[in-house]
Amino acid sequence: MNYTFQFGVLNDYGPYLAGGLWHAWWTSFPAIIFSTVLGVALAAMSMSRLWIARGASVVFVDLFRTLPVVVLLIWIHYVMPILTGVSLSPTMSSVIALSLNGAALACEAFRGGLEAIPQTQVQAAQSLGFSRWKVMRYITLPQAFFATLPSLTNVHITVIKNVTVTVLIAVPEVMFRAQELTVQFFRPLEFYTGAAVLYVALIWGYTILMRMLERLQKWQPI
Amino acid sequence: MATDLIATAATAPAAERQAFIRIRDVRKSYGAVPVLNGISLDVAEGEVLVLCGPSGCGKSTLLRCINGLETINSGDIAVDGRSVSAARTDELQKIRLSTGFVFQNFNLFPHMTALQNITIAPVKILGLSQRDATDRGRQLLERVGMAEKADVFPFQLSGGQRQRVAIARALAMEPTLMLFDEPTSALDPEMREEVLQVIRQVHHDHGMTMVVVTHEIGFARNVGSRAMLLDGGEIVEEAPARTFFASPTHERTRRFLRAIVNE
Ligand SMILES: Nc1ncnc2c1ncn2[C@@H]1O[C@H](COP(=O)(O)OP(=O)(O)OP(=O)(O)O)[C@@H](O)[C@H]1O
Ligand SMILES: [Mg+2]
Repeated sequence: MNYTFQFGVLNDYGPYLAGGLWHAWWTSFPAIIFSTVLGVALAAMSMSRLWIARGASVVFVDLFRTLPVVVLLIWIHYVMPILTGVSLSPTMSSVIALSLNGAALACEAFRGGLEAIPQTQVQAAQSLGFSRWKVMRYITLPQAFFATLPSLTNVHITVIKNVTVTVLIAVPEVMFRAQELTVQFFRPLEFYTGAAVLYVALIWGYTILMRMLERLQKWQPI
Repeated sequence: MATDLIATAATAPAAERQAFIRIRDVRKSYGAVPVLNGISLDVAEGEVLVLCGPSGCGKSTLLRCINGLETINSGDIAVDGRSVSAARTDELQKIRLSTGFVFQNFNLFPHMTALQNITIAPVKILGLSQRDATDRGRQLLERVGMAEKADVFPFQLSGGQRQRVAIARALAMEPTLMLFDEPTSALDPEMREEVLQVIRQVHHDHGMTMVVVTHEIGFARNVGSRAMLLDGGEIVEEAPARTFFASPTHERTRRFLRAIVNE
């Protein structure tokens, strides 16, 4: 190995590289919110009595968890404008692509959590006069929420990691900036290592937040 | 006009008054497995019917059918003059408001405190204000001897305490009918009496109609007005509770009662 490390370049350009985290966060955070909300709705639909709601949920999930994120992103950013005449900013396209993919994954996580709630809980609520919707709203979903949190955290981590593919459409997040700086200074090791460290830090930070959320659960299943 | 109606109702012989629960030739199977093979049964208002039978004979299924939690294959079930078996989903929800169901395994909502378990349905279903529901909930907890445990989650309660909260939860809806599905059989013997005492008290205070699946003979004899044995999806024997336990006529009933006494 005859590469001489010059981490000094990070002194000069580290802040610029780290500034990419801002874009990474503001792409992944809305995508995390949308995918979670949409995932809950899809999971609820998958348990509906209406076949059309169940069908829509299955089609959505099977489509968007199979479509590679890169394909989805390129399609939304470059193909959709041709069809609709509406072009979106790179960040917007990225949020949509990551949300659709994340929603499919979140739906499966919630569905697992909902199906684990014993049927006797539903019966107890129904015997008190709860409608199917109110059973979901007040009994099964709140219980499934905490049971789903660990797998939901995994989904969110996947969403954050997927931000790196937005480099393809020039969202100025960390990977994009690392690439930009490397081309300029020929120091791939320093910049890409820096990018790796920044993403790991972001995801660890997020994981710690979610662990704190898990600790808010004061009850235990019986 | 109104006085006429009341006068007629008061003078009509008991048999002619419409039964509070009216079950006619009910059949229910799970897939190809028949569970209820033509059950017909009347329960008068204020009556306490004790339902006995070996494991798997369909006691829980019958209770769930009365509450419309299961759909039946044929026959008819009516509660307080309203058909359960022919009801649409929204009608069924209304009918269920006046029926309380107490389960063998309590089925408390684990994510809510004892008090929240009791107030959730009055608030979200009946539309009571949170404050009124809480006042009523605390009174109910008091009555089942659980006042100190209002803010405790179900996992922190013993089995007997859970069942008492579950009874309070059902009572919060002010039901006119209570269905008990083996309310004490999941409990250690020393906790059974505390729950049976609460049920006795509820019966004494409200005199509401009750169907109780239980093998607690002492309790059944004291509180029950009528008792019946269900076996093979049919009613084998039906008699006033005291007669049923003291001098059953069917050999099947005698064998069953011997078996549960020896347990
Ligand atoms: N959801 C279900 N699906 C299929 N079969 C069922 C279902 N529920 C009950 N059964 C079957 O129906 C029969 C009657 O069950 P049920 O629970 O009503 O009996 P039970 O008299 O309450 O018994 P136990 O004393 O054990 O509670 C049993 O053979 C049981 O296996
Ligand atoms: Mg049973």
